[in-house]
Amino acid sequence: MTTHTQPKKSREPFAWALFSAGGMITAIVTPILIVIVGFLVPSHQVEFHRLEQIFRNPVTRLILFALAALTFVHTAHRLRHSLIEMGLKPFARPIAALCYGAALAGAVWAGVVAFT
Amino acid sequence: MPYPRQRSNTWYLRRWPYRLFMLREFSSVFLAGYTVVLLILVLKVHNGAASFADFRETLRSPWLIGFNVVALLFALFHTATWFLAVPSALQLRIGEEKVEPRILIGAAYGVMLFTSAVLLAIFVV
Repeated sequence: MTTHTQPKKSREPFAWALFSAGGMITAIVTPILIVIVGFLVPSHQVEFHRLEQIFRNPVTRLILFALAALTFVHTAHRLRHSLIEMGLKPFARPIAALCYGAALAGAVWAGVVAFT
Repeated sequence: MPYPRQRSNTWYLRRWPYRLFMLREFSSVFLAGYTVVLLILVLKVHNGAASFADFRETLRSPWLIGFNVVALLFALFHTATWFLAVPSALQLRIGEEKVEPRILIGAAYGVMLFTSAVLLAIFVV
């Protein structure tokens, strides 16, 4: 007797969807955010009270969390695939676990930071 | 017997298109690194004015300025390569006509510039 099992459903499309969302949002906002955080804040162009106001806004908290989480997932997915391309195929499983694990930890931390 | 083709582990260093491909892949590490800096800033702001002032001094260190310069270059590289791929990912049609790739790419840059202006206004003005 032969048993026919359903082929295992891949979770890969889900990872690619998050990767694409992260790629798009970072392509749009990351350069200006680096200019603001990396150059305008240290040169005293951004007021503390303004930052406080922005980061306490519930909508900003949500956007910040989504942005950070998607960026981490985007990086994890890219890094996972490029490390495998670089000849680390035998370690594909631990690499995936490490990359997505780090992204998940980063996303949890982002949630804690955004909603404190 | 299948014959697995051998590929060297340093193939990506051989030619410029491969090198650029790997650079693009690794640009994402800088995106994540800068996100950590952003989250630390948010954390310090939540901790109060003194905590923020301390971190602002840290941000002035040559190491962090250097990191931010490199991160900005990689972020722009990511934006350029990502927008270049938009027409392949989004096959938009108006009626029978396919929307031209350069219009889609232009629209993506338009969205980016508009969003950047809004964010600048929110933070600085």
